[in-house]
Amino acid sequence: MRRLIAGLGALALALGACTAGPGASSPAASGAGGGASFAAESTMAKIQQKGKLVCGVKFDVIAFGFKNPTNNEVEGFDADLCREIAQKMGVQPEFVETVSKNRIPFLQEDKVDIVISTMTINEERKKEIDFSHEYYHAGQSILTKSDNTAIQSVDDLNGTTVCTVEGSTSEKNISEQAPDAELLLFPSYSEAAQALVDGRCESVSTDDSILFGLASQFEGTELRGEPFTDEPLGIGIKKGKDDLVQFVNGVLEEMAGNGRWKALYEKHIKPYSGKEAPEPPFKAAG
Amino acid sequence: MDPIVANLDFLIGGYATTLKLSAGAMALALAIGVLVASVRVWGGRIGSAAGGAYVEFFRNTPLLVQLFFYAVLFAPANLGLSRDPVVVALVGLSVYTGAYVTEVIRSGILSVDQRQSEAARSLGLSQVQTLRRVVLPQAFRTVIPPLGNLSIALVKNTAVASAIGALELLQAGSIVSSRTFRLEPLAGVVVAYLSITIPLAILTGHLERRLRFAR
Amino acid sequence: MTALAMARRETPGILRVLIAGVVLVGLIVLLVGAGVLPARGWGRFTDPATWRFLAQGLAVTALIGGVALVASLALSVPLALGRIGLGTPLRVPLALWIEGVRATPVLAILFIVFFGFPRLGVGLTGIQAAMIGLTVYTSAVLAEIVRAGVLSIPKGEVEAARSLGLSYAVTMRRVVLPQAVSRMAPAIVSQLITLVKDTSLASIIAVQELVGSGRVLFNFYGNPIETLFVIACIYFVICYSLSRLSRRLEARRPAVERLVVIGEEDQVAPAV
Repeated sequence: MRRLIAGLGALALALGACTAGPGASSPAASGAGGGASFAAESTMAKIQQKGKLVCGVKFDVIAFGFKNPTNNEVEGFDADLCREIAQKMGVQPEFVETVSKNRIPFLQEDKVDIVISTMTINEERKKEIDFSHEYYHAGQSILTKSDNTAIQSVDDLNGTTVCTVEGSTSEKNISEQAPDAELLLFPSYSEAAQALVDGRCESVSTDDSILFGLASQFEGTELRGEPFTDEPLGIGIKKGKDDLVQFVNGVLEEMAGNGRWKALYEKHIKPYSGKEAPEPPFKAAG
Repeated sequence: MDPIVANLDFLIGGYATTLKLSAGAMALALAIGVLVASVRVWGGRIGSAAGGAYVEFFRNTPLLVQLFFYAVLFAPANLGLSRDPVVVALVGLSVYTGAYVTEVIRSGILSVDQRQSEAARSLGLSQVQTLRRVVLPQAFRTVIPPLGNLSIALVKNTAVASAIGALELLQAGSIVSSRTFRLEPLAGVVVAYLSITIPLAILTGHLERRLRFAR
Repeated sequence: MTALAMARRETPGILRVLIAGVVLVGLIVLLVGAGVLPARGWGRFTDPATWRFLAQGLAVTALIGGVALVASLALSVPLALGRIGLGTPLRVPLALWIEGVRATPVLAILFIVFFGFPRLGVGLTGIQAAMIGLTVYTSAVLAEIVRAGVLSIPKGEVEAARSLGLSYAVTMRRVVLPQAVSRMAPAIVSQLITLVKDTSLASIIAVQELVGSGRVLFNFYGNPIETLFVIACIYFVICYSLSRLSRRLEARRPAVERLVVIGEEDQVAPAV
């Protein structure tokens, strides 16, 4: 019995340590006092009053938004964009995990201030929320095992099994561009990639932005061919907050002008894409 | 209703897979159950303990974890047994449900008064004859209602197979639902599940009452 | 001693655990030896960081399970009493609700909550959706257990209490429920096992509970078989303990028929 109690105590301690973890390790990247001052009624002033910018990001997409299990930090291009914008406002960034299904409602209910979660700008979504400039140009591509030479382009997917995620545009694109491919659908990309590694399918197909991370995470896999769709990624903002859209666009333009955008590309995406930073997909400031 | 009508063939395909998966897994689970229950009762100390370990381990572990495990284990990169998620789910559901069936059958066997088999043996019946003629017919009566119950649980559990990519009823509904941005396909899926589980529940309740009176 | 008598005889609890442990370890060694389970990849489990990460997931599992259990217990009593309640107009709709929910796969309920609420403009986190979905399901099952427990109390006691002038509510609270609770306890603990196992389904709607965090780990380290095995063992320790508790509660009670709820595996074949 005593051993049981000791065990429970240890467990409680362990749990306590974990719950304290994320708070204690919250990033100190954002410099305080760097914030501009805003008109009293502006969205930015309200965020400054809260003292934090709440960003909806993905927690499972390496290179863009990923919660690193070894240190509990949210890392990636999207996460650093959030940090950058928060710094310009002079507030702390806070990260909330969003998935494709809940990110738009989260914006509409003000559970998050902005959503930076590899979200493609499209007409359907524009009816519900506003977008910033396109901050990254992604495209659907193919991930396969390095030793698989049969698959070089989307046409080669016919007659093979393709893993992807149910309810995604990727699934639709495959059925259109490779109608004879068999689809194996999973709840998340990591499961799809695991299935590729296990040999349950010949390839995983979705946005290259997601595949980069999977390729680095799952040994013996690589991207093949050129992207066969256009997926402009944008930062989502609730309708009616035009001032915030302008502010975010301003930060993006500034980042293009001073090289920060390229620096973030070099830091997060180049290690996986192997390519030099392209020009940002939006105009640099003055 | 439009999204359901427009994708009716696809949804019916999922429904058929769910029915096949349920029926196949129940048959396999019964076979596993009879086998392991016999080992538990007549297999001596080691057999009983091994059977008990099987029962306890598989009952006290989530089905989802078991299915994930088999999906990876059976894949070409590992054992290379199968990469078809429906086959993996069939095995996983059978082994999981088999653990429960084992306990039902075992308690059915133990419910028959031991003196009856002793009497049968002393009358010169062999052990197999005793089992077939005396024990099993009586055990049958005790095990039918709980087995009906397990079949209902099994039908509901087939939905978990969607997580490893099996295109059964729930996955079919969820795909149609996200393609059409409508909730009706998921609601339709629930009605389709009820069309299997409710009749099974009525049948089980009916059998339970009848067999109770017949005793 | 005949084999049958031996099978009936109880093996002491600690011995059972020991035997089970030996069988399990033997099985792993055997499977690793036969090349079924990989030999590498176990080393990650010597790193405390791995366990801390799993413990974080386990805390989420406990949070979801705990909230769903408390909410379900609270909801089950009015659901059950409403269904028993004589002639109330709510009786039929409540019965349909309870039976309908119980006949639906838990995962389908989770999907409807997680995908359906956003469509109504209510964005739920995966954790919230899991809590709501599991509460909807578990409260319906517990309502059946409560109903069976209440109905198992002899009518004479209720009539006696009512004839002494106690109101229906007071009769329920003072006479029926206290007795029913001890009869329901084993079935409730059994259902708790189902609930713990069902929390794993939350990983499908993007919750990083135990299975979800396990997935992050094995995607990171490339050791899915080993990690899934360890996770299964963690669930086993929790659920097996609960099944022993259920059994002990059952043994403490006077021998009456066990309350069986149709279509729930952990109710159908209780631990023997």
